[in-house]
Amino acid sequence: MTRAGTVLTRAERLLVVANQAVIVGLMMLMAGLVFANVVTRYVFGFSLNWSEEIARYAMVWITYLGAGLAMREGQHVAIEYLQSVLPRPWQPYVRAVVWLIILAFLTVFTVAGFQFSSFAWRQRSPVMGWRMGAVYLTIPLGTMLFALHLIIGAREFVMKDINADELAADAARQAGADPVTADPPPTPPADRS
Amino acid sequence: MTVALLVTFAVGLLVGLPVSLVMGISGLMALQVGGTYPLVVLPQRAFGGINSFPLMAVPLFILAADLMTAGKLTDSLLRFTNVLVGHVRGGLGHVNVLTSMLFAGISGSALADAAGPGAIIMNMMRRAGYPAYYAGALTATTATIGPIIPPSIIMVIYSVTDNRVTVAGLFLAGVVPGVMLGLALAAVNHIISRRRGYQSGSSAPGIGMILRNFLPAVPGLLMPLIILGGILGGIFTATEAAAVAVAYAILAGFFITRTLTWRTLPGVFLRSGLLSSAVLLIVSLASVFSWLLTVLRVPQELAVWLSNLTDQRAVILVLLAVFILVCGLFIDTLPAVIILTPILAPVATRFGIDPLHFAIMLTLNLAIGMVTPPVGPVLFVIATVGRLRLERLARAVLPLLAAELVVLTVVIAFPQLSLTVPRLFGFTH
Repeated sequence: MTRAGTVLTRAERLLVVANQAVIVGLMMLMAGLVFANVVTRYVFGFSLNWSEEIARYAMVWITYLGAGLAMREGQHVAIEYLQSVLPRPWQPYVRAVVWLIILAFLTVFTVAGFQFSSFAWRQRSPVMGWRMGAVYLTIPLGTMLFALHLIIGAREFVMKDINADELAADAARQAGADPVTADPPPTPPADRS
Repeated sequence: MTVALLVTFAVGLLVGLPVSLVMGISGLMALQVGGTYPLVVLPQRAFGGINSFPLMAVPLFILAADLMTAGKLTDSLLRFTNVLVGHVRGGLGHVNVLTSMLFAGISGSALADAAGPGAIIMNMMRRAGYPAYYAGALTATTATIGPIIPPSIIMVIYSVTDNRVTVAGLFLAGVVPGVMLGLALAAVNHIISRRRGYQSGSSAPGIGMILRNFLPAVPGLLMPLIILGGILGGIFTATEAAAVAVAYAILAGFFITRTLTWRTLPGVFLRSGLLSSAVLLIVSLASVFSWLLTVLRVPQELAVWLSNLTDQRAVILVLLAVFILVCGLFIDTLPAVIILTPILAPVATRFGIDPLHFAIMLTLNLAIGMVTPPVGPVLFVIATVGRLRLERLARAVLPLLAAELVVLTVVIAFPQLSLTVPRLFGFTH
């Protein structure tokens, strides 16, 4: 591998790890805030009225900042049945078109998102008084990140063998299925050859 | 504009674009063709659609379910149901049904249920000698119980979409139809097992055996009790219940089963974060789509068209049911709820159908649509996970599907089945 190549791979790893860390952090924040509010209400007798607002925004941020990573992990459900009945040599072309459509949509969405954010720049959030424009920034930033992941993963996306086991693996991952073993019958042999 | 919206939607789905993005893309096309609204309504609606506290129950329930699996609470539950009903004829089939009822709705997506716990039981059945296609068909149909029995993510989203019904009301309304669905599938499993001579997997357990397996299952069994008890007792909202479930699953995983560690925890949060992202992206972009349908006055036109057709409530119910069933053939449950509820719920109300009754009818209908050939998405998942041929699987599903359709018909015909339990608790409309 060339030197530029390794630098790129390292940058990609860094991007993925940083993105993952952001999602984990926001999930913990969201769950923690909602739970904390229940505890303070029943144990200490008061509500954290700001916790709901921050948790809500955290959820929107998780959605948009996680969408690109979710794409690469095959979490976005798509009906690929029609693609799978096409003759194999055609499949990459169709997937390339799909890839282009997604990229085009994300581009328009990003532009519209920045417009929306700048329109709302002066508004303030009801409880915390945050700039709504800054809160709304998650959409264009998220769609840009999504596009970036899409571009980095372009090759895998276009060449994905939809007839093969990958779909099964995707589906299992989607459900967060662990290789759970059930007793009395012994460990299931992983059902793929 | 309406044509651009619907055509782009259909074509986009068929070429295999992700479902969430299809709704954004068709919304964008409609905005471009119509030219009446600026493009900023796209991010505006997308943000507004998920900026909701009740909706937060969805990622939190997903997280709680993931933590339960990681903490092995799920395993003990599966083992317990196996000891309990595994020994009767067609036993593993009953385990399949019972587990779906116990897990019901924590994941909220029939697809996830089919691919997750469903796939595990399917493999257990196959190793125990059940024909692969029967095991697949049963797993596919039991996955549809999830959205009906509480707690159900689909119902949380329904109540966000139609604010005349409450989450608690919906949860209660789903109890009887959900149990009926489970019993119907168990009955069909019993008949088929007897006719085809499927054996039981194990011998009848002694009381000690049951107790030994019951104790480890207790933490898992307590989960739905905490959630439902808390919501119905007015102690907390559905979202807060989900957060409590998360905290409970973490505590149980750390201190009772001791399989959760500080090292594994971030991985669980990441996985459920990404699944939540995918689910919420659907909700977000479906809000754009359904907003367009509303401003294009599609519900009103549909209502007018229907009332020109007939004024019989029974006929309307049948028409609605068939229409929803057809939609359920093509769209996943979640986006279908967001798209169809604002269109159909007002129509139903206009014809004097109770909002809660309609909600159950819609959810049940869509869930069944997931396994209806030719294009039930759950069938695709089972076919790929189990390496089965789709056509043969679709044929194997038919007797079970027939039972589900009977349950649906009964639930539609008798509103009391959905409405009695919520009324007992004081949820009237």
